[in-house]
Amino acid sequence: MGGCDGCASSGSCPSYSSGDSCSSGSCGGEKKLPPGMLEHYNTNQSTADGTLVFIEVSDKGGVQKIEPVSIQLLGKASEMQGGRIFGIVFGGPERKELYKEIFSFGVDTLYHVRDPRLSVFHPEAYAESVAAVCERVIPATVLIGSTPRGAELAPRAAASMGTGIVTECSDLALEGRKLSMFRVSEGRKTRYECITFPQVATVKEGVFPFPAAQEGRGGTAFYWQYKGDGFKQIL
Amino acid sequence: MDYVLFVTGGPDSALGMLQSVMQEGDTFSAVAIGGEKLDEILDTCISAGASETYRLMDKAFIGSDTWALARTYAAFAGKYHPGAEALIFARYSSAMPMLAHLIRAQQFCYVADMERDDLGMIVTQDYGDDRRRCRVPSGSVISLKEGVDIPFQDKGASTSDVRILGLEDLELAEMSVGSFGSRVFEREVC
Repeated sequence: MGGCDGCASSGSCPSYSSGDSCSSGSCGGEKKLPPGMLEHYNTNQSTADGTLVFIEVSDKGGVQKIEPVSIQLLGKASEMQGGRIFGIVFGGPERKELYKEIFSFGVDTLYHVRDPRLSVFHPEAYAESVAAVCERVIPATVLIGSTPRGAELAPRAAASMGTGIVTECSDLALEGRKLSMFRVSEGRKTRYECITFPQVATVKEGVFPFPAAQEGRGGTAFYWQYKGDGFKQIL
Repeated sequence: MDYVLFVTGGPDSALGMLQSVMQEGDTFSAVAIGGEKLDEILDTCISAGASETYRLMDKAFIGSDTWALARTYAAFAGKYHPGAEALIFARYSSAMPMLAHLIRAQQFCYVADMERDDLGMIVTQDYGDDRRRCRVPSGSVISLKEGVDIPFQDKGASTSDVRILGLEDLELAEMSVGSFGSRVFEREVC
């Protein structure tokens, strides 16, 4: 068995059970794992990475338009270089016309919650969908514009994910995956941190500059089906 | 029907709005979270017809972020007013949508008007660029639009002591509230 006797694998190592010797030599021949192995494979570490931005779209006079604050947040996300940038947009097939513009502002992967009923704002359905997409992509950060609808959506989405939120941030800074969220209140600028992932922040329009579009930049779009019943009865 | 008013600022417009939809036999309770200085506001609610007033206060609540605050509100609503027709916030707070999620209720923000018909309550939401009327399911959480000005009718003060509720009354664990239960922390002043 060549050094497998006393191996901490407790006989679960395939090399041991087949009768072959342990070819990698990693069993160590002692009743413990190689030094530093548990630290290296820290299975308690979160795998959250990247930024999800809520792309708010308004429909005025039959013309759909991305809210400026969503584009400003995409610019900030690109500047912070915190990994992949995900976008989430709601509405029917007509939203496809916005894909090119969304990708040009830095989105790598777009989740289109494709349902004509969701062209109208339903905060419960929106929050459920944001949480479901976050469960799929596991972002470290979620950024939502502090418009009236965004301000209504963001806390519910954060609660759906059991995480905290800092609203109306005046600045954001990323170090690794740790987001510092700054807020000014009564003339005082304070830095906040969220100890859980994802870190949810809302930002008002105009806090960050409008980024330049990268013409011809592409991305990947996924359709996402909303299967819940979080719709309001609008009269 | 029973309503709950969460006092998160001046309650006058909320009291006016509530009085406009309440019918004979309906009751409402007012609740605030914080220290004794809130008793004056709760007295205003009593004069407007609140049948009960509560003040949530405990050392353990200190340092709560909106998540911990929402859990405190949810514990109160679940234990003391589980069948409330609507939970109303006098002013929008981030804890309001979090509370709505925790109690699995619909949320209605920026409410500029409330009315009732045979089927129940209807609210008008004003997003600034759009107004819409929605039917409100029982148990929903509502917050009023800022700037709504609806005077309330003073029905005369009645003696009603403010009930002070703490951690044990709400059956909350210490790790659920305050800084232990928070997700967001203030790190430094810049």
